[in-house]
Amino acid sequence: MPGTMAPDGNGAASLPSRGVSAASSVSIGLPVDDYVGVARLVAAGFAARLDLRYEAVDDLQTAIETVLRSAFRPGDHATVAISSGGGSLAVAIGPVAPGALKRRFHERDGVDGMDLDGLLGRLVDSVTVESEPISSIVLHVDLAAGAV
Amino acid sequence: MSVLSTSTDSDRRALLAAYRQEGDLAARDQLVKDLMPFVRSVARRYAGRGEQLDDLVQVASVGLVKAIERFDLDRDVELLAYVFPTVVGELKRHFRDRVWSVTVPRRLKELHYLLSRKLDEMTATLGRSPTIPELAEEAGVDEEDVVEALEIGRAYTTRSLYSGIEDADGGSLEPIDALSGEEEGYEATENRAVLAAGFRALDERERTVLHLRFFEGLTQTQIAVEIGVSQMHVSRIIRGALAKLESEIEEEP
Repeated sequence: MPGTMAPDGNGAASLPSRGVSAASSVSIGLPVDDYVGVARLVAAGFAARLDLRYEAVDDLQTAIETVLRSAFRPGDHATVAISSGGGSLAVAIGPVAPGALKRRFHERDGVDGMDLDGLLGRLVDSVTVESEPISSIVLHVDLAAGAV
Repeated sequence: MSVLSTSTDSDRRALLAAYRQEGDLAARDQLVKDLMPFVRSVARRYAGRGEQLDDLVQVASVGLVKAIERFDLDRDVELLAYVFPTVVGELKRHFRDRVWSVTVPRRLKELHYLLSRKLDEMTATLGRSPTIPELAEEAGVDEEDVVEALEIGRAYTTRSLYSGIEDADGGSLEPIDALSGEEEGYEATENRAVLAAGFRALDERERTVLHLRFFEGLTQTQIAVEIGVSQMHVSRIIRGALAKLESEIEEEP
């Protein structure tokens, strides 16, 4: 099955209730070639429950799409893990090989900040690179700024 | 109220002649300004077909620029009589060329059109873009329907407003550039674009939008106001440009 979706830990399929800040997460595994739209849909569905403004949702979707298209190669599988908690929404996208990550994320041939790092920094509130549990690019949206 | 100014055909011909023969850009801009109320009125006839009026006015404006570039001053025909069919032709072509790239259920198409309009209306009313639950409530549908309909908009493609217009000398003319001098501030974009390899693959509008979004830090809403299209249209331009940019960089050795 090309795309698999798993609710967080305990197997409960429900998403967080609107306005509730308790940590919740959804993760989905997908081939990067044809399922980028699925990742976008899942992210929008999750973000809708956090009362994020449309523009913030759209920017987040664009950021996710950009990472999936930029940091992976055709045929790769990616895991997109979306979680909320502590006043922010985080989307971790991996696994990305450390070498590829360095080459494609930090040292791309951008001009005046138009590298991937610069682009993503405009679309979401912050971007980090995590090594645990898998090497991932993590997009962070501050709910206080992006939500109503 | 008449949509025509008090200018006569002779006045307009004089402006066109000044532009054609002396390269007087101010005369051309004055002619555009003089005819824009008429062009807007033609665009309004095509409203209500699922397109934003602002977008239609922009398309109609392209028709106006084409008419100004192509009208034969030696012909014994009123300029306005040439402008009208050219503008209508441009609008018809626009509807013909705007196509859904995949088969989309009618229900979702209509919801997409509705949401596109609501999004701009609510943004203006609220002073911020609405949330998906707010859009759902306004449209009277479920949140999942909104998410689906917004996403389906990616299957909606448009012809570039920057394609295929020749100026009086047979050179390439960008319609939006021709309409006013407001684009001059974006020269920096072009300079940067020359430097950035991937930017060469983008058309003028894509470069402008990316510049405003990523260099100037404007929001989609602000860009929509700045260039006179809907917020959803801005979103489509950004996504398309980034995909093109990525593809271009990918192909480099």
